[in-house]
Amino acid sequence: MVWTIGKRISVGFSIVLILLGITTIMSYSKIGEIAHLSQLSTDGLQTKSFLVEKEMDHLVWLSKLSESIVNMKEITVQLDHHKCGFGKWLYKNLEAKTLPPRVLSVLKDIEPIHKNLHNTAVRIKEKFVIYDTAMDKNLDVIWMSHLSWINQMSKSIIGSTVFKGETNHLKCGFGKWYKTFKTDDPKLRTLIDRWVEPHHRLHQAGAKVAKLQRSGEHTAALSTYKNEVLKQFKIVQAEHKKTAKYLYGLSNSVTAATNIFQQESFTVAEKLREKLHHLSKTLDEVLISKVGNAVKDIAGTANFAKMFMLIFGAIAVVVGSFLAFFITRSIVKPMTQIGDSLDNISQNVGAASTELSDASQQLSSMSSEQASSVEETSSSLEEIEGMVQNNISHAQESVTLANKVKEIASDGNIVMEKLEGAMHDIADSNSKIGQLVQVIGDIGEKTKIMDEIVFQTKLLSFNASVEAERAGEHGRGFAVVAQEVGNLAQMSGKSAAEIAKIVNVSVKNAESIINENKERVEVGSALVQQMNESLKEIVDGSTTVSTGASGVLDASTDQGKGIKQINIAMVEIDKVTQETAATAEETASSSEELSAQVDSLRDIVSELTLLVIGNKSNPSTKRVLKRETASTKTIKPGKASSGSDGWDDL
Amino acid sequence: MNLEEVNSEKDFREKYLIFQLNSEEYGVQLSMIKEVIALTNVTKIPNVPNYFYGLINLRGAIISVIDLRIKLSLSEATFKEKKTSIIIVDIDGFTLGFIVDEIMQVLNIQNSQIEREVSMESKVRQDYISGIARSETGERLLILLDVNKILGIDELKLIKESSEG
Repeated sequence: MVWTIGKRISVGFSIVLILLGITTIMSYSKIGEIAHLSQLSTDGLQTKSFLVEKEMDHLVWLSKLSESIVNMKEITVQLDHHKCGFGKWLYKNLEAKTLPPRVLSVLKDIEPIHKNLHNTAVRIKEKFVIYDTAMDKNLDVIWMSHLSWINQMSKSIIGSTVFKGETNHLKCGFGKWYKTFKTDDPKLRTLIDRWVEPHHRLHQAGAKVAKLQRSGEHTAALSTYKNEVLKQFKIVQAEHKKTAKYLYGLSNSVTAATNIFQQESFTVAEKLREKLHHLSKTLDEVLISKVGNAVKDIAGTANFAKMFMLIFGAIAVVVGSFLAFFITRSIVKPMTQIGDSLDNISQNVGAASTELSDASQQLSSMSSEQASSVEETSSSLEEIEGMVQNNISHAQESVTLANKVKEIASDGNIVMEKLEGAMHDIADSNSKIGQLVQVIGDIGEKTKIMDEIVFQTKLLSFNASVEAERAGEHGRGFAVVAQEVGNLAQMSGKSAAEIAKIVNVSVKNAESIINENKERVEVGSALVQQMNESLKEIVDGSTTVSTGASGVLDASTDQGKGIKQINIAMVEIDKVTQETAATAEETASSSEELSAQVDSLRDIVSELTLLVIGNKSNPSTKRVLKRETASTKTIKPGKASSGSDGWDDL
Repeated sequence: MNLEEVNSEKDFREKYLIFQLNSEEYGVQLSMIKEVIALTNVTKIPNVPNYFYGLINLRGAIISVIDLRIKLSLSEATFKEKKTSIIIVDIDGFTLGFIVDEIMQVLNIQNSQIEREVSMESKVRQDYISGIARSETGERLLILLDVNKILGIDELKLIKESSEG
C-alpha cells in the first residue's frame, strides 16, 4: 500500500486533531453544563416575575368587567382564554413541556380554572344588555298621568260637568317626552312609535267629549266617552303593557348577568389567584433545589475538565512530534526525485514546444492557402448561382409557354367541337336530301298514275272516235273533239314520260350527292377525330412540359437555396480558416511562451531542489551531465565496434 | 266512171285507227271497230291454235281474243301495261278482240295516199293487207289491214265453236 504525501500529512494531522477535538468537546460540554445551570436559575426568576404580573393583569381584567356592568357600557375585556397574556404563556408551556414536571402539573391544574374565568365573561356578555334605565321610570310617570286623565273624564261624565283635562296630545306628558325620546334599540323604537297614533286619537276623542259637554249635550258626550275615548284608551293601555313587558325583560337579563359576575367570576378569580400563588411557591421550591445542585456540579465539572485537558494535551504534543518527524522525512525524499523528473520533463517539453512552434507555422501557411481556395470556391458558387437563376427564369418561361399552348389547344378544341357540329349539320342536311329524294320518288309514282290516266283517256278518245264514226255525218264535230282529246292525252303522256325521266335523273343525282356528302362527312369526322387526338396530345405534352418545367423550377429553387446554404457554410469555413490561422499564430506564440515557461520551470525546479535538499547543485547541470553520458553511451557502441574493428585490423 | 266520181274517189277520205305491232305501224278502218279496251284478265282455253289467246268478259258478253302478233307470224313479245290494248271488232255478227302493242291515233287517210299494189316487202301475208298508206312527207308507212280477212272461215268457225263450246 502506497502512502501519498497527502495521506501521510492528513493521517498525522487527523490524529492530532482527534486528540484536540476530544479535548475541545469535553471542555465545551462541561462549560455548556455550567452555563445551562446558571441559565436555569435566571429563567426561574424571570418566570416568577412574569406570574406576578399576570396575577395583576387578571385583577385589572375583573375590575374592567365590573365597571362595564355597573355603568351599562359595552363589554371590552378579552373573552378568549387562549388570547390573554397569561393564556398565551400557559398553552405555550403546556405544549412545549420544557418546564420541570412538578411545575407542569400545577399548570395543568390552573388551565381549567383560567378557562372557566374567561367563560364566565362570555356568559355575562350573552346575558348583558345595554338600555336606558330611566326609561322605565319615565313611562310609569306618563302612564300614571293618563290614568288620572281618564279618571278626571269619567268623573266629569258622571257629574255632567265639563272635562278640563289636557286635550292637546302634544302637550300632555307623553307628547312632551316623545319629542325628546331617543334610543339605539330599534325594537324599543317601534314599540314606542306604536303609542303615537292611538294616543293622538285618545286626546282627540277627549276634546270631542269636552266640546259636547260645553254645549250641554251630555248624553252624546257619554256615548262618545264610551265608544271612542275608552276604546282608544284600551289600545294605548295594551301598547303600554307591551312596552313595559319588553323593558322588564331587558332589566331581568342585566340582573342575570350581574348575578353571574357576582356569584361566579369573583369566586373563580379568587381560585385562580390561589392557584397562581401555589405555582409561584412551587417554582420557588424547584428553583432553589436546582440552583443548589448546579453550584455543586459546576465545581466538579470544572475540576474534571482541568485534569482531562492536561492529560490529553501532553499526549497530543508527544504524538504530534513523532508524526512531524516521520512525515517530513517521508516527504523530502520523494520530492527530490520528483524535482529530477520535473527537470527531465521540462527538457522534453522545451523540445516539444519547438516542434509545436514549427507545426503551428505550417498550419498558419496552410490555412492561408485554404482561405484563398475558399475565396475561389465562393466566386464559383456565385457563377453557379447565376446559372441557377437563369434556369429558374427559363423554367418559368417554359411554364407560361406551356400554359399558353394549353389555352390555344383548348381554343382549338372549341373550334373542333364547332366543326363537329357543322359535320352533324351536314349529315342532317344529307338525310333531308334523302327525304327530298323520297318526295321526288313519290312524284315518279304520281307520273305512273298520270300514265294510267293518259292511257285510259286515249282509249276513251279512240272509243269516242269510233262512236263518232258510227254516227256518220252527225258525229263529225264529236270526232274532232275526240281527236283533240286523244292529242292532249298523247301530249300528257309525253310530258309524264319526260317528268319520269327527269325524276329518275334527279333521284340518281341526289343519291350520288348524298353518297358523296356521306363520304366527305365521314372523312371530315375522321379528320376531326385525328385533330382532337392531336390536340389532346398537345395538351398532354404541354402539361408534361409544364410539370417538367415546374419540377425544374422547384429543383432550381432548391439548388439556389442549397447554394445559399453552401455560401453560408463557405463563409463559416472562411471564418474558421481565419480563426485557425489566428489560432496557429497564437499557438506559435504560445509555444514560444511555453519555451520561456520551461526555462522558468527549470529555475523553479532548482529552487525546489534547494528547498527540499538544501544542496545548490543545479539540476540543469546534472541534466547536461546526464545527457553527455547518454550521448557517450550512444556513441560508445560505434566507437567500440570501430575500436574492435581496429583491434581486428591490428 | 265519170271524172267527178274519179275525183271524188281520189279525194275520198276514210278514218283509220293506227296501232303498233313489233314497232311497225298498222291501220284498221275505224268503221270496222266496235270499241277499244285495255288488256284485261284473259281466260285461257286449252287445245286451241296458239294465236287464240283466250276469252274475256266485256260487260257480260264473252269475247274471243286473238294475239295478232302470233296470227301475223311476228315475233312474240311480253304484254305491257298501259300500252297493250284490245281492239274489239264485229266480223259477220261475231265479236272478236285483237291484241295490239299500242294504239297510236286516229288518222284521216285519203285514197290518194294509199298504194293498193303491195310489194313483197311486208312480213305479213298479202291477203290481209288492203294497202300501204304513205304519209304526205313520205317518211312514214302504214300497213292497212282488212280485219275480215285476217282469219279464214275455218279458223273463224273453230274459234266460234271453241268460245261457245
